[in-house]
Amino acid sequence: MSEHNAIISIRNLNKQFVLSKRLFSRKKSVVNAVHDFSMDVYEGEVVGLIGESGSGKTTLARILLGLTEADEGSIRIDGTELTNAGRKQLREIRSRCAVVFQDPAANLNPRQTVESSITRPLVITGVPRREAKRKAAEALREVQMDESYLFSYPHQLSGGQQQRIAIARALVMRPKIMILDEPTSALDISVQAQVLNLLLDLQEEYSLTYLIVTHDLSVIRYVSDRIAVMYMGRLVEYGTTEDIINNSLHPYTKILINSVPVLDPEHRNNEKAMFSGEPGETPEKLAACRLAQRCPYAMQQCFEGTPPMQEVTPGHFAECFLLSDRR
Amino acid sequence: METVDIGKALLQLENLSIDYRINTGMLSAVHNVNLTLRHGEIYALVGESGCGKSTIAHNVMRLSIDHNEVINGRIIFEGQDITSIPEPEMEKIRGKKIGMIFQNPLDSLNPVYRSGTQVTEALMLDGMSKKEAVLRTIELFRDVQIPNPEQRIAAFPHELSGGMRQRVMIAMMLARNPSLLIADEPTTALDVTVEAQILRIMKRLQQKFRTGILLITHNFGIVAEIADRIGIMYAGEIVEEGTVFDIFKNPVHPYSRALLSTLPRYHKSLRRIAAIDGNVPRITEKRAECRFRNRCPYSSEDERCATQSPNAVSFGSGHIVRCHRAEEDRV
Repeated sequence: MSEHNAIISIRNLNKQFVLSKRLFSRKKSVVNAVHDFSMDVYEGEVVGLIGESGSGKTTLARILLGLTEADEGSIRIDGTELTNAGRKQLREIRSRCAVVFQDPAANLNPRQTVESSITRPLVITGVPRREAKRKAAEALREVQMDESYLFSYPHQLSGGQQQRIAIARALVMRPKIMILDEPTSALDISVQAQVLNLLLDLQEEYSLTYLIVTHDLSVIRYVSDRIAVMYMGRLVEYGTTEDIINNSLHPYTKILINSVPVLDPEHRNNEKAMFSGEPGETPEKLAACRLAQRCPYAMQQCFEGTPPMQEVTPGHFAECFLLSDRR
Repeated sequence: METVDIGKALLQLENLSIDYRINTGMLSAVHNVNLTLRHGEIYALVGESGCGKSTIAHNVMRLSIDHNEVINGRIIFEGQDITSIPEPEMEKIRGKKIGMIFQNPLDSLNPVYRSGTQVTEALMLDGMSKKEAVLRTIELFRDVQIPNPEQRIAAFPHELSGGMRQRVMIAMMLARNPSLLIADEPTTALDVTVEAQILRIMKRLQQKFRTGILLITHNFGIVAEIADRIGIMYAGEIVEEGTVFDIFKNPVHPYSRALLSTLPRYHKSLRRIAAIDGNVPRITEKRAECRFRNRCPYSSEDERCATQSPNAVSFGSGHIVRCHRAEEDRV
């Protein structure tokens, strides 16, 4: 793993969505889906991006794929600036950056056979049909499925098999980066394990870089080298899996980890620190800690200014006013 | 460890089998299920999708009106056989004595009525005056920890978050004070921090009102957190049943063992999880065989797996396993 080569580099990214307060009304409200977000992902590592619904993690993934346009900030993917890239450059970035979405049934065309789904990206980029078919068969073997499935339609396959097809389709372009948006949350537990193991095997074999977007802490802790925690559009903590799980610094991360049910009935009655309220309740002012209204440690300054992002130990970042006191 | 006062039987399923007529024959969704849920007990039915756990829940409530459905066996609620009682009788039980909450609260709430109205409606069915009902609704909203209940009763479902909607559902169910609650994947659609709050509310209900809860889920984390007893379902059958400690500490059936080892656990970071190869079969032809046979690592060692249905073997108080191998190791 080459530690210092950032393959994805995000700087001060902002994305706002403007909503009407009521139907046909002129009053608008603004949602800061991604707010002043900076992060690096190094080549060959698996980074987990975790957050609850509405935290902006999917918006971020869509911006990285060029499906949504950012308002401000810069993204460099493998040395190319994405925000002002032309059509040709964008196409080139997309061939290096593949994606697997959450619901495998929804992202395979129900009227196309597995073969045409997998060969389509190749054909679009000008690979001869015959060559494309050979590569499709190969990709299917890589995801441990029999070649006979090439002529099946998605509805004839189980959820786990559909997700394997989606992975094969992503792999066929030989990408360097894979963005996985909730890759296993639609699957049963026994099948989830098969798909996760497959993803890890492929990552090692082709030294891929993974950005896994999920809300499932038990999955992410298991596969990632580093974890980024997102809350209401902001990166609140970033560090190695070990740092985040065992030495989390931000109150949000701590309570998030605490909320995950422990798989051991003997520890069931340990009194847990819990959040009041729900994600989405944020202070009126933009320059305030996003968590202030739910945080049990909130102080006056949390409502008045944005806490600074600090490197507390090498490679372990968090933004919280409590940490400035400690230093 | 707390002791839950376990009383007499509230819900019993006796040899319950549910089949569906499909164009190629009969699909066996539930096969020979025996289950007892006592007052004040949380019983979790756990299994992968398609194992029949929701089919059981829907049939206890008699929510499915599928003419291609064939039910055998008995469903006994509070000592009364409700399998074939007429619909008007069932209407007195449904909602009043057995409450149910579903996975997606937005599907279960009426989008054109205010959330409070939907709860007061349930109360007025029991002959309460409108004024009383509104006051009681506010009280119920407070019980399920909805902030500012006086204002929230006027909110439409789309104005509430997922967690708030699920709380409204629970309040609606509570309004008629049922003795049995069926919770079908109650927190699957919610975030973990909200899930923890909802689980705490359910636990409190069980302790305060001694409500029996039949919890349908595929999430072992929730089970470890609140269940008293567990039934593990596979392809329509309960393959193992026991207390939460029996199942987590000493699982016997190969499927339960495999399922528990597929869980990405916190304290392990081996970077590989044990997986179960293959998929759950669709049973369209009833044969005398073990339904887990094609995925079981031991089935090649024993010819009975292909020729006989395994019997239920008891492993001491309430711990029951259906496996041929267990018959030899029995304690």
